[in-house]
Amino acid sequence: MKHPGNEEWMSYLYDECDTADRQRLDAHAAVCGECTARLAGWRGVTARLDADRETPAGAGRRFGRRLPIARWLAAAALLAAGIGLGRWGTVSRTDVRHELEEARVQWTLQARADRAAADREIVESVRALAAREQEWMEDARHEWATARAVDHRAIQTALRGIEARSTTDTVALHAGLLRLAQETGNGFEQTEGHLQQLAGYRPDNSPANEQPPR
Amino acid sequence: MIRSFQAGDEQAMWRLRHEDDAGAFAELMERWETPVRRLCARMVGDVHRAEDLSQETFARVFAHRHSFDTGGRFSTWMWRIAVNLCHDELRRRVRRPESPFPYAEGEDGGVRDDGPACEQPSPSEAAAKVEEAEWVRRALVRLPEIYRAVVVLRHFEGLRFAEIAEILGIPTGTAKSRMAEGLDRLGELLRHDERGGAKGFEP
Repeated sequence: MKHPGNEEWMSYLYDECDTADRQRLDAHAAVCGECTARLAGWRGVTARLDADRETPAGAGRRFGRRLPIARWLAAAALLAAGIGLGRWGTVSRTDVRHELEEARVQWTLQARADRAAADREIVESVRALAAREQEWMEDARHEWATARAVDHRAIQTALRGIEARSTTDTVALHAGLLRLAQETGNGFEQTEGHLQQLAGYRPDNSPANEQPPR
Repeated sequence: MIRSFQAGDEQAMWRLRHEDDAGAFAELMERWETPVRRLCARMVGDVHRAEDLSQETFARVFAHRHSFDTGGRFSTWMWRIAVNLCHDELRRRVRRPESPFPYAEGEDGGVRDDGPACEQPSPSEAAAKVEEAEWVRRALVRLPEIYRAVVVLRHFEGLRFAEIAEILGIPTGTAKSRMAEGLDRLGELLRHDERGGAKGFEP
């Protein structure tokens, strides 16, 4: 007996085969214990798998914590629908569609307005930043110029001090040199006097006082 | 029933693509966020990471809206993004000790919005169902990735094999045979857990 393959049995198990195939497989299972057992085994497993289908497995929370933009959009769409549904009791059934549409349009307009407002806010923030940067630049430039002027004055003062000290030193040097020259002149004159005195010196027993022999 | 196709998806995507319509994006998110998060939770076994991955999926949908093929189906494109993100996550992931299945933690008890209303079970029945669900999640995260993607998309999200094949870039026959193999392996994992393979498991 030729047994149908697993592929055929899977189509059968999940109801994806046509009527003719189903009848053929039914007929085979009726006479084939081996295939009937296999089919029963698979059915047993799928029945057990259904236990996980019937209890919540992460299916409870519709809105989580992250992806704020997408979730916000979904929430906003739901809110718009909710507004429409909330007014169900006060409007006639024929108006509900119109109300929902109106809510959707309002939400769209509100979203556009929010986006435009956000854009404006960004532009203003950028402008404010640019202005603040300009102010900082001006302040920095002013501080730099002030510091430069202070430095300039300090340098000039220092230079003037150096110049004054230099002049004083020169005058002192000049006076010193004059005094040295004066003292040197005096020294020369004194020495000359000493030399002249030395040249005119005659001791008492010198030949000049002796009587020449007769 | 499980939602696999919405007539408005492609129109919304067209509006998003050509008019940057925020309302259209909100519409798509509202419709698909829960299924995508659910897929990611089952794929990576972590509800918090699944939330991040779901958000990343929609961020990519928005970022790549101009590359969406208008001739194709939005959901297929979106599922492909989500599944690829899950594959990337699993590839680079260092196994966390608190895994594999914290994805029922911290939930607010909300019920799925895609199933038929059923009668309230008794507390013991409810507890048994929760416990069974934990076994299933444990087995699912242990299932090799190539089978897990097919099982999650077919069984839990109700996609047809042809669409799953398109999402994963494999032949339809391969998607079906992976499904059969995945169910066989899941059966083994569930039996193994029952025999005491999952030590210390307290749902």
